[in-house]
Amino acid sequence: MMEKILIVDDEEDFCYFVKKNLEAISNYKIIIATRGRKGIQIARKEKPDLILLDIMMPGIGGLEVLKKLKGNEKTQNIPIIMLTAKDEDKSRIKALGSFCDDYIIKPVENLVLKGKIHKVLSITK
Amino acid sequence: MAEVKYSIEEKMKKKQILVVEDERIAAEDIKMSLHRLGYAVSGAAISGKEAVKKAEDLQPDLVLMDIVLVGEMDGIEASALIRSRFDIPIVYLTAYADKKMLERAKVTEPFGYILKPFDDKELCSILEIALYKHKMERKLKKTQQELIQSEKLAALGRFSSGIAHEIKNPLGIILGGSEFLEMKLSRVDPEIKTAIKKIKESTFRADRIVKDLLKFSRPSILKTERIDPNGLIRETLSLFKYRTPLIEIKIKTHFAKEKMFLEIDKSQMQQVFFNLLLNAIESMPNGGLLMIKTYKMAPSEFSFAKKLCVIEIADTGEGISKKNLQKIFEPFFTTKREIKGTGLGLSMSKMLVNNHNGDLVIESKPGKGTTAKIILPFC
Repeated sequence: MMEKILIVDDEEDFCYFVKKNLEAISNYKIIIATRGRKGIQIARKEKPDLILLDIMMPGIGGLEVLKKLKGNEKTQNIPIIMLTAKDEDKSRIKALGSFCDDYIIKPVENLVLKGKIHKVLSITK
Repeated sequence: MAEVKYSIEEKMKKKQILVVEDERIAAEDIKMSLHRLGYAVSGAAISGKEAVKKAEDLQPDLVLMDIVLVGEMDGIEASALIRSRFDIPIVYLTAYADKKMLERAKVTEPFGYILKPFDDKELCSILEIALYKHKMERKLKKTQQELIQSEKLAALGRFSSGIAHEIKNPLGIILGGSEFLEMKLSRVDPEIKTAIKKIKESTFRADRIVKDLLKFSRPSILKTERIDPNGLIRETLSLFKYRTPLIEIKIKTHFAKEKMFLEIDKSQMQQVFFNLLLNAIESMPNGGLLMIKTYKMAPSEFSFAKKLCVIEIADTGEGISKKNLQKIFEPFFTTKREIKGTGLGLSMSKMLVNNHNGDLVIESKPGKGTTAKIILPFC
């Protein structure tokens, strides 16, 4: 079965390449949301198998999105990988404290990203 | 008076004085007094021009300067040049003390002004005070420079932290785009494959610089433990077996026989050792000798610690010029552009050693090699 991955990131070009590159080497179906609020809506509606979540976004930031998703019973079991440019211990601790499943710093190679997604999916299923 | 010969050891201990005096008998008198007082006369000059030349060649600890000299340049003009060019302290020894002369002399910031005729006691006290004052002045300058440097690093850290994510986001797009093109085009043309590879490498390089910069911004919380520095050096050296070919480089170690333990953050200090070993290895592309020593050192005036441990990493590479040596701890200063050095390794190493209440000193002789000394207090 084709697994659905939701990317929530305000950098449209970044989302575009992650989608193209991941789809080229996997069977994942990639959905994109470029705002936190939109991401929450799609997550509730589409129930993706995994979410790649940025932190610094206009409107609702990624850490807030993470809390909302993990605090809602419809979405609390969806594994979430933070995919962010924020290379700070403070953010990492906050994200892990809110039960994200991994924390990846940009830039990241496609194969590494695929490997991390695969690992999280196999653990959480 | 016959020239007094000193052994090298004596010369090392005795303070070297350059005597500038155009009257032969007066010059001999001064030299005799200096010998009686336990100083070494490193040379003598009779004109301002000669004084400047000898100050440069001999690098004395102090210049005892007459004001009225033969030739176009008088003692005050010569002193101004010597102070500004070589930072050697000047003490005037003259028969003149009129107001105009004093005003001119003041501008050159002398460390003393002695009127002829003088006696040994007066000469000795003024020279001792001048030498001590100059030593303290140098120490103060060094501390000021270190403060400026650490403030610069802290400012750089704050700045880097603010812009890091602004750089990392576009880097993510560049890498993603390169990988996309690689999939689509690299089978078409090998030149495109090479171009994409270079773009990706540059992306990783830029990312590495941002990561290094971020290290300056992080408050340094030391996770210290009791570590044997000899063991940590051995462990760090073993990392090079896999990273850098050491075929032409001979490694010699001379570790202190008695057990030494330091209270240090292992990962931070290993990073310092790694940076310094890498610098030493890279300075010898055609081979050479890498000498690593550890030993105990008596506390210096610059440290409050009871005992100090020195870890010395010396190479026989090309060395560093005097001009470059002054800039070596400045962030982004590098002589390794061609091998993609970021110029952050040494400034970061110094910061990490300073965080341990220690110091990192680099000594170098162009053409002969460089020695890095990590000085750390014992626990």
